Amino acid sequence: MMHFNIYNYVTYRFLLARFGLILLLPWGWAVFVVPPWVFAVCTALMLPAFFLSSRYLILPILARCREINGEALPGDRPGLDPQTLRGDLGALHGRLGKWQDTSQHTSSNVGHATRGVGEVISQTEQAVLELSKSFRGITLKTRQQMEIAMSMLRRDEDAGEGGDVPSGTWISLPDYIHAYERQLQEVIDSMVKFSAASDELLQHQTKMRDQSVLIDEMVDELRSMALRIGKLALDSSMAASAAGNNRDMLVQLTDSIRGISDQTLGLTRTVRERLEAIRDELVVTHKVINRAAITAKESAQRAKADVSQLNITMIEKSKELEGALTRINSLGKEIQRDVNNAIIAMQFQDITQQKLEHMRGSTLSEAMQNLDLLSAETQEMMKRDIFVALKAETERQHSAQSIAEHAGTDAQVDQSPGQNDASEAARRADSREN
Amino acid sequence: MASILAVDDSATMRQMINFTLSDAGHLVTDAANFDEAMAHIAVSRFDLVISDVNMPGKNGIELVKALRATPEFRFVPILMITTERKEEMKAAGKAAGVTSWIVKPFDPVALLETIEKILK
Repeated sequence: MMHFNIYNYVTYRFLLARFGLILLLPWGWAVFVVPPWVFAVCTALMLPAFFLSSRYLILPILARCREINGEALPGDRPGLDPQTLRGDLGALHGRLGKWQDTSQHTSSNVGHATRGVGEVISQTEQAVLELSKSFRGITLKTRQQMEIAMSMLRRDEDAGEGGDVPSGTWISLPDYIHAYERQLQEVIDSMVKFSAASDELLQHQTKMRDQSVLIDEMVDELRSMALRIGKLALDSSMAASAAGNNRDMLVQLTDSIRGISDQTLGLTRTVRERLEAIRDELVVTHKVINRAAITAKESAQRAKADVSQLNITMIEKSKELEGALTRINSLGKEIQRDVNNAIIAMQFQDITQQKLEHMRGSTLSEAMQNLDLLSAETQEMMKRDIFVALKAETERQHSAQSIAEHAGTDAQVDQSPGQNDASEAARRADSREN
Repeated sequence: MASILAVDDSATMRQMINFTLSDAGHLVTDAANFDEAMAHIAVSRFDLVISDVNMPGKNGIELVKALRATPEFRFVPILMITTERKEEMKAAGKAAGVTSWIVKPFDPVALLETIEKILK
């Protein structure tokens, strides 16, 4: 049963007009022969006849023809109101415009996100490269520092173990310390020898002092004897003047002088012996002093040479140390710069993270919200009458098409029903896909 | 040596700030967000506060306002280290009581010079 639809009358207005004219043709001649009231009544009755015939005869036939031909008209939708159709179409237009704006905005955001991701990847890659470069620099310079430090401890093959270090030969720090200790030990040994010689000299000096004291005593004794001899000489002269009176007394005096003279001779011999002893001691002392002087001279020369060598070596080592420390310091500054660069590069991770969070939090979320809104609006719109009617019409067209095809292929169906079922199933599948 | 509170939601940034300042002899305390920072502030005194601006929850500007509202931290210098370059954000920070503003990534030498200048 076809519903009343103004669109059907609008669509077939020319056909219906021709049908009305044909119905009115018999009344063209009757107007001249029948009374006017009969003509008016018959004409008035023609209008409902025209409406009823078109409503229940013409239009259903046309609709059936359209169904057979697979044609469809918006006006055929059951219960479709033109006002509603215009409203739906207006809403559809508005939503499509909004959809277009949102799509452009979303497209712009996605483009921005794409550029952001590219920037993030580039920055991350740059940061990783910078980090690896910095840490490689740090590792390299640390190794150089270690090599410099270790070279100061490396033993020089030419110097040899425990051998004397030739002047100008590069030596390692342990060799330098060993040579210094060896030279210092030699200086100490020389000084010990010099001390022993000095002790010996002191003992000889003590003996000489004792001999000197004895000589002093003997000299005093000689002086006393000389005084007594002088007195005896005076007494002898006085006795000589009175010699005639007392000869015995003179003889006694002469004997006394002889005795004293003998004593003086003995003392003189003793003094000579003492002097000889002193001379021997002096010879020994002279030898000891000579030896001590030689030892002291040698020690002094050795010490001077050692100190000179030590000074030269010390200056060389100081220069080497200064150079090594300068290089180590320079490398340390470079390492600090590399560490600073690494710290700067590491911060890009945070910046990258913040950019990604911003992108996730605003750009992509906004895009997702827009897409969700579009989806909801589209679903809502799909529930409207026009889309429901469109869907129903589509299904109806498919069913009509399948009926027509089925009628034209009855013979083939009888011959190969399985094949026909398959083609029908394929058509249904196509219609579902459409 | 100064006692410094470093507030940043990024563990990397906190680590970098800690490395830089610890090597210079400062004593650094870390906080990951507003609440952790306020918890440290409640029990400790600091000579300087370093903070990020964009953090989850309450941001750095709100932290500055909260610090300035605390009598013990009313005159403590506050240094912001952030990726924010917008002048209006800097103006908001200045109005809240920020002492100085450094844009990430920071140079460790420049950071130490700035801190030395601030602490003088």
